Amino acid sequence: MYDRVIFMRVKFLTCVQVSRISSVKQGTVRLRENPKEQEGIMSTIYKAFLVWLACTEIMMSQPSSTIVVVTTNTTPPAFLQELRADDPKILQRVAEREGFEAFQKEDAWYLIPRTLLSQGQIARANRILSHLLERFSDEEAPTSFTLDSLPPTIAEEMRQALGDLATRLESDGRFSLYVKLQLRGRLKNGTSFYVRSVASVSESRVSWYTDSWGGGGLSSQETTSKPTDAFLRQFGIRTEWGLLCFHYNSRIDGLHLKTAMDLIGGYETTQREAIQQTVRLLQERLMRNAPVPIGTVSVGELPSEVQATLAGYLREKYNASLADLSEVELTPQVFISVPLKGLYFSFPLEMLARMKVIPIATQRVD
Amino acid sequence: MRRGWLYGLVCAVFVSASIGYGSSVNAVVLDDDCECSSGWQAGPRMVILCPPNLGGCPRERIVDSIENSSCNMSLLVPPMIVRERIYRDWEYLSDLECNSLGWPADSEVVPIYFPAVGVGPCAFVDRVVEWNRECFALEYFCEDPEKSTARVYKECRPVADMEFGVLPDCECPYDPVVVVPEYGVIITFERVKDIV
Repeated sequence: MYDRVIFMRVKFLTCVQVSRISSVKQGTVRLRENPKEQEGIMSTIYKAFLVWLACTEIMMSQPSSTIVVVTTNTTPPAFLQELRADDPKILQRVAEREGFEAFQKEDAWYLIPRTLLSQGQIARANRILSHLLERFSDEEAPTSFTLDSLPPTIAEEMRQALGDLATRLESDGRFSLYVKLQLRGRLKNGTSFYVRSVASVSESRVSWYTDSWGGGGLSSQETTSKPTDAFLRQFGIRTEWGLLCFHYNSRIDGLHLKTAMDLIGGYETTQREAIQQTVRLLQERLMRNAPVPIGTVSVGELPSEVQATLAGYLREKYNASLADLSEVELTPQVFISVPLKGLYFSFPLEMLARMKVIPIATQRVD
Repeated sequence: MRRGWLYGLVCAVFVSASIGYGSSVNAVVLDDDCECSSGWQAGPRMVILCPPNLGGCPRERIVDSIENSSCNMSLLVPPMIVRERIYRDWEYLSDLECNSLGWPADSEVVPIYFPAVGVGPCAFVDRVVEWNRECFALEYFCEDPEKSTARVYKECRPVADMEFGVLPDCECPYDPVVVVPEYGVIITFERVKDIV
């Protein structure tokens, strides 16, 4: 899975160039697209290494240190000739000038384009969420907003994050943030259960769902099922591999390739952590004045009508009663509601960072 | 504070307009203050901030909840129409109160459409009706004699909302996916274990 995370993020990456300062020759390693690839990172590296070996015909002398430059086109950047790995100041100055981020890792320097790091969905989501947090730090600011009310750069980021959904946005429609509460419980006999939606909090107003909790089953809707394979073949996930090239002018090993990818992955991990923190802060903001307990709660803390619904759920599902409960936990989750034409789409806010919208040509599922 | 100020401003505009019209009603004397020989004309809706005394809207209603915790099957749920009500509450903004004009009804049933949706393994979709609140002022005016009457409305209009996401504690070989064919989109969610 990890390799997919990385490669989906860098699918527009076309080349990784590796340069040794002491040599002027260069070689190229290219990873061909392999849509069926779903294996681990080690497998990826192994394959990259094999391809690299296959392409390695121009071997150079052994210079003192290595510089790995990741680019998005196949032409080696001219500034390679300026770089001196043993002079970090020059290297960082050139990197800064050319729009690259420089990382030092063991025996090598890695230059990765800022665009590659910042144009991914995770970085984009991080910027959007940071802006929303800043916006909602104003106590009086409503937790809904229009796209036009966002700064133009953030509005554009939102459009890009929504992908094909952006073409379906209702003009002047309002996005909104709200919190859903999930309930996890455990019976004294050890049985655990989970109810996905027991309440929502919007503009500090709590709405408890006291209709029967179905435990996530379908209601009266007619439903058909299809084998997952067929479903996915028609609509599902296709692993997308970018076309990776490795230009070099000296011997490198698979570890360099892995390190370059790890740096990008590590950057994303940092962004993910920032996103989690921002979502937590937004959640606190959204629930600031909401009279609702969260975390481990006693049944008595729940409104009486919710207790009745919970009792009905336990009776129906487990032939148990409130007295059989050993633990109840309420977990909040922040949702964003997106105004499309004729319909709202809502999803957990952190999904903005890992959601991918793929257009389909067909209009019906047959 | 700002809300009260704006609401006050809107009220002031309407009240002053009413007074202006009312003061010029000299030439024609009608038995009923709400009679208008030239015919009442409706003005445009003017969206305003909601006055607090008109209250909120009904809470959302989960119409159905589709969870797919099976790795072997994907669920295809057909489209659906539910009928829900628009709720309106109102009060007069003007001194002149004429009830027999063509004011919006207090309640109105409208169809709400949910498109078909495909729910892949480890995904869920809730189809929810929620009510959007909007407040507006509406004025009827009469040219002969010059007068007007105005109301402020709070309208709760039902809208379809599809909430989707990833089931916790669900492990399948594929990333969760939701397909909404009529909107021409497949939405996939990357599984990342370190994100709660």
